[in-house]
Amino acid sequence: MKNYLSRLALASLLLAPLLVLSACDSNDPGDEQARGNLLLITGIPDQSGVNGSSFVQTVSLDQQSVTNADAYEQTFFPYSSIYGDQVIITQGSGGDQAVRYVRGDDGELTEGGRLNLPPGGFGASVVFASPTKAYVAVVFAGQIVVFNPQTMTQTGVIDLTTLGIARNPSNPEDRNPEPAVMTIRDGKLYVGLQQLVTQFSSADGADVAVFDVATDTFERVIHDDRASGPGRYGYNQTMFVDEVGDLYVHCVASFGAVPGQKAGFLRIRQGATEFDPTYFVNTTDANVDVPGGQIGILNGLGYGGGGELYGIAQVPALQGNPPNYATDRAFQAVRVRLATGAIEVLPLPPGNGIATGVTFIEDQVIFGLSTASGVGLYTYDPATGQASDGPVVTTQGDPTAVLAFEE
Amino acid sequence: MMRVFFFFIGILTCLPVGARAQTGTINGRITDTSTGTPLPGATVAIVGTTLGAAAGDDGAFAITEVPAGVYTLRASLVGYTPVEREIAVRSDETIEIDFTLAQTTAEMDEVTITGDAEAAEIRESPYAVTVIDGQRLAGRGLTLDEALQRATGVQIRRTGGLGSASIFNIRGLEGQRVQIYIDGNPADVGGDSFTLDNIPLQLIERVEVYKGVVPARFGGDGLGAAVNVVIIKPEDGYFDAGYTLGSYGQHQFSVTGVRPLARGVRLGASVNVDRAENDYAFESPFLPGLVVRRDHDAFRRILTGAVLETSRLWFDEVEVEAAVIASNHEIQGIQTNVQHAESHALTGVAVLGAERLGALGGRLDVTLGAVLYGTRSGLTDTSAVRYSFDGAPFPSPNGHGELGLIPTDSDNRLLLLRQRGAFTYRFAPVVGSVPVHTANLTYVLDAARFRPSDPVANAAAGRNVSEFPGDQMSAVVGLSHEWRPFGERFVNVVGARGYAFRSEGTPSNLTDPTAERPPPVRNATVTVGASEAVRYRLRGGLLAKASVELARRLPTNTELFGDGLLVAASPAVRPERSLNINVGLQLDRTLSDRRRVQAEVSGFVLNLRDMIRLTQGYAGLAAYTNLGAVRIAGAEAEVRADLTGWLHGAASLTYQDARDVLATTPGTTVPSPTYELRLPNLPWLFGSARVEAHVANWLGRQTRSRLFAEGFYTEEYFYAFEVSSRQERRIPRTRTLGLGLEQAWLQTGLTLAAEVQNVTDARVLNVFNQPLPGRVFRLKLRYTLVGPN
Repeated sequence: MKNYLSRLALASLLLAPLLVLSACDSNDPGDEQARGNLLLITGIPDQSGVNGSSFVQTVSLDQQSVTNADAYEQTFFPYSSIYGDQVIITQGSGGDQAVRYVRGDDGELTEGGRLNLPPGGFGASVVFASPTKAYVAVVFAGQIVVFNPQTMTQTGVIDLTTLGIARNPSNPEDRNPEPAVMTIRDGKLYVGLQQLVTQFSSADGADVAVFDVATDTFERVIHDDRASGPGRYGYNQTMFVDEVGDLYVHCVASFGAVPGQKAGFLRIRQGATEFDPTYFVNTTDANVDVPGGQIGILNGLGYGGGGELYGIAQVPALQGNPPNYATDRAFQAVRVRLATGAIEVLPLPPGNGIATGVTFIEDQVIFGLSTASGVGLYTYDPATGQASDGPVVTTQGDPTAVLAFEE
Repeated sequence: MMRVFFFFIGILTCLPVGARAQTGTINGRITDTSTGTPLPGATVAIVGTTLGAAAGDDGAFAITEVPAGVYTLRASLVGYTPVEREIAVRSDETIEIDFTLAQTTAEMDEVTITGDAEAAEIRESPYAVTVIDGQRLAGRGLTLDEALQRATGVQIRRTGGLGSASIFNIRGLEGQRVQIYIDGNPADVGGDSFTLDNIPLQLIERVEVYKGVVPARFGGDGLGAAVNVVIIKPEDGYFDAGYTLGSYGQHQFSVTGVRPLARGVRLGASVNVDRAENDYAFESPFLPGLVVRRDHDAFRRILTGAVLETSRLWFDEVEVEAAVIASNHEIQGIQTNVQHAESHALTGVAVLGAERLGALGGRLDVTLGAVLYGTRSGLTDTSAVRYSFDGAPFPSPNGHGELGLIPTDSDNRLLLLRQRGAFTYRFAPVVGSVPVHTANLTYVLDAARFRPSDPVANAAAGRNVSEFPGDQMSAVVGLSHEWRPFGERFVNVVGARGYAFRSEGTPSNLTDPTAERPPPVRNATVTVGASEAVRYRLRGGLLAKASVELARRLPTNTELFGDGLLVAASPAVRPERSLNINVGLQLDRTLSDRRRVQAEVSGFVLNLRDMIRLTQGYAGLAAYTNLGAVRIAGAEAEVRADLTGWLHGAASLTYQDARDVLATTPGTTVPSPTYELRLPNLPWLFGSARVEAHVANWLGRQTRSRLFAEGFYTEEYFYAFEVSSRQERRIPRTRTLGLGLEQAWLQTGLTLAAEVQNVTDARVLNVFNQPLPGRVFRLKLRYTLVGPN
C-alpha cells in the first residue's frame, strides 16, 4: 500500500511538462504550420483515477483536434526532453527505462532505442551536453546516469549519495539528495537537489550541486536559506538560463506542506558561484490578482525570453475540499516578470492541475490546459495580450506536456 | 484498513430460556443400490437444519432429539447421487427409514450445479448464482481462491503465489464492490490480515457466488456481487486431515475434528498451517530480458480454532467459538529487489452463536450471534539499503525503507463488535410442502474502532503521519418476502435493505502539518436498496429467471478519512449505487440413465453511478471522489454434460463489457476522452473447459479414480483505456492447461490427488506487471473419518 502511495505521491508531484533548455527560443519560429512541430503528451487515467497511461505524439497548431490513435503509450506521468529531433522520455515511478523517439521528415515519431535505468530509481530530468552525451537524473537512486542518446547506452554514473548526508534532520542516515532538475551552463552541470525528508517535504534551504561536464566531477554545492526545494523532478524548465547567462531556479518549498518554507525564484548570475543575495522572487508571499490573492506552486514553466516567464499557478482559493488535481479548475496561467517579481494573470480560463504544458512557437505562448469549457492547447500572444477563446487544438486527454521542436 | 471486518459465524446475544421441544427419533440404514452393501460414512441430514448423522460400518444411522415437524431428509455420500425423502416426526416416536444410493457419473464435479439438495435449492432460486461444492474439491490441492476461479463468471486476479493479494472480479465488479460473506456474515477481506485463502477447503461446505443481484437476506453492502462461504457443520463424529505438497515450497497441513463430549455436546477443533516459499522465476516486466527468481516472498500462516456446541438448550445449536490466525509474509519486489520488508498480522475472533430451526411448529427459524474480532496488522520496512537484482546495495532514498519513501513499522489495531440476527417465518398456506409466503428479516449491527500507529514513520517524517484513529457504527437491515403461489413452479422474492452508517475519524491534514490533532470529521449516511427476483419453472427441466436490484456500497473509512499519509479526508463522499438487471435460462435434462445435460445462459446489465475514485490531489495528496459512471453489460453461458457413464464434460464462457459512460469530464462541458470506451485493466472475455473420466473399483473395492483435464482462457486486455494502435501495456491472453489424477479409497476415507497446473509453463499474469508462477505440481493426501466414534 505504501509503495503504491509513494508512487502516487511522486507522480502527482511532477505533473508539469519538461522543457528542454533551448526549446523555448522564440526567435526562430520555423514553420509553425508544419505537421509535428510540437511534442504533445496527454494523460488518461483509468477507473482507479490514479493509474493509467500517457500518450506521446507530435502535433501542430493547424490540427484543430487530435486523438491518440497513433500515439506511443508511456507511463502515466512521464517526463520529456527534446534535443533537435530527438525526444527522450523518462518514466518516473512507472518504469525503469529512458525511451528515445526520433522525429522523422514526416514529422512523425519513431522509437529509437531504450536505456535501462536503476530499478525503481525514478528516472526524471534529462539534459544534453552534446549530441552524444546526456545526463538523466535517477531520483531515488541518488544518481545521475551519463549516456549516449544516439546509441542509448550508459557511459557513466555520477553518485550523489554523499550530498544527502546531514540534510535530513529527522533521519541522519538519509544519504540521497534527490536530484530533481538539471541544466548546463558554461560547461557546468547544475543539479537542483530536493533533499526530501518525506514524500513531499524537503529539508529547509536550497542546494544546487555543480559538476564539470568535461570530467563529470563534483565541484561544489551552492546553498541558500531563503527558499527550499530547488526544481521539480523532471521539469527541466524549473531551472533555466536566460539570454545573458543568468541561471534561475524555481524552488517549490515542499508544495506548501512545510510551514515557513518559501517558494520562488533564486538566481545565480553569469560568472557567479553563489546565489545572488540580492535576488529572490518570493511567490509564497506574493500578492496576485487571483481569488484569494495568493498562489501556490507553479505548474508548467516556460521561459519566453526578455525576462518573461510563463507558468500555470495554483490558486488555493479555487481548490475544493479536499483539493483535487483532476476536477478543481484551480490553476491559472500567469506571467512572471523576473526582474520585478510581478506576477500577472493572463486572460485564459483556469485549468486543472494535470494539464501543465507551456511552450512557445512563433511568438505565441502555448498552454496545455484542461478547463471547464475545453481541453487542449490554448495560445497567448504577448504582443497583443490576446488569448485564444478556447483550445486551438483539442486533445484526447489532458495535455501534461507540450514542447516545441527547434526548427 | 478499517475494512478488515469479517468473519465467522452467526451468533447470540441472549439465550432465551424456553421449554424443551417435543422430539422424536429417526433410524435407518443406507446401502448401495446396485450391490446392496452398506455405505459407511454416508450422511443423513435434515434439510434446513443442522441435524443429521453418519452411517456406521453396517450402514445404520440414528438422528435423535428431532423436534416434531415435517422435514426433508437427505442421504448423501461422495460418489453417489443424493436421495431425499419427506418425513413427519412426531413427539416421542421413532421413524424407520432406509435409503439406497446409486453411484453417480460425475461424482467429483468441481463446480456442482446438481450437488446436494441445499445447493440445488440455491441454484434454483431466482438469482444468478453459482454454487461450488467445497467438499468435492477438498481432495484437491487447491486454495479457495483457486477453487473460485473455476466458477462460471468469476475471475480471481492474483499478484503472486500462496498468500498474495487476490482481486475478485464478478460481473466486472472488483474490490470493495464485491461483498464477501462467511455463513451469511459480512466478511470484508480488504484488510491486510485476512483473505479467503485463510479458509482451508476442507472446512468449506460450499461457496455461493451471487452475480448481479444479491439477496436482501445478506446484511451487507455491495454493488451486486457477493461470495458467501458456508463452513461445514460436522456432525457428531468427524475427523479430517490433509497435507498438500506443491511447487515453490508450498506445504499446507490441515486437521479438523469434532467429537461428542456428552449427549448433545460436541467439541471441535481445527489447526491449519500454511507455508510457501513462492520462489518461482519470472521475467522482469520493467527490464526486458532480466529473469528474476523470487527470493523474498515466503509466506507463513497458522490458523487454529475450537468450538464447543450444544443442542441441549431451546436452540438447536448453541456454540462458543474462538479462532486465532497469525501470518507473516515477506514482500517480493518486482521493480526492485526487496530483501527485508514484510507484513504481519495477528487476528483473534470470539463467537457466540445460537440457532433454532423450526420453532413455532416449524414456522420460524432464528439465528442470533455476536462476534468480537480484533486484529493487529502491520508493515515493517526499515531497511537502510535497497538492492539491485544483481545484489548491489544502494542507500534508501530517505535513509530507510525499501518500498516507499519513508520507513515504516506500523501497528494497526482494529476492534470490531458485531451483533447479527436472522429470522425466517413461513406463513400458514402451503402448496404441496412449500409455504406460499415466507418472510426474512436480517440485521447486522457493527461497532468498530481503528487505531493505527507507526512511530517509526512519525519519527522519520518529524511529525505525526500515522496516528489517525477512526470509529464507526453501522446498522444494515434486510427484509425480504418470498412468494410461491404455485408451489415449486413459481418463486417471487422482493427485498429491501436499509443502511445507517455513522463514522468519525481524524483526517489526514497534510496541508496543515502543524495541526497535530486536527478536529475529527464525521460522516452519517442513511440509504436504502431494493431487489426483486422471479423464477418460473417451464417445461422440460427449463427454468427462467429475472432479477433487478438497486444496490449500494458505503464508503470505506479510508475513502472517508484518508490514510494519514497521502490520501486526504473526503467526508462528503456518497455511497456508490448501481441498478442491476439479470435474465437467464437454466436447463437440466436427463437424456438417459447415463446421460444428462445441464446448461445455463444469462444476460446482465449493471449501471453504476457515483463510483468512488481516487483522484490526484494537491502536493502529492490524493482524495476519493464520486466521479465514475460505468455500464457493464454481458452474458455468460455454461454447459455441463454426463456424456457417458464415465465421461463428464463442462465448458463456460463469460463476456462482460464494462464501459465508461461519463459523457463529459466532471465539472465541465468537455466531452470525456474515454466516453463509451471499455474500462481497462479488467478481463472482459474468459472461459474454461473441463473433461474428466471416472473409474470405479479400479484399485480395489470401493475405490474411485478420476482423471481430469481443465483449461482456462482469458482474452488479452489493456492496462489503460484503449485509445492508440500502439499501446503496449497489456495483460496478455492466457491459456493454461491443468491435468490431474485423484484416487479415493472410500472405505478408508483416504484420497490422494496429484495434479499439474499450467502444464505448458505458459507465462501468466492477470494483474499488470505481476507475473504468476508457471508450471505448478501439487500432491495432496487427505484422510477423512466420519462417524460417532
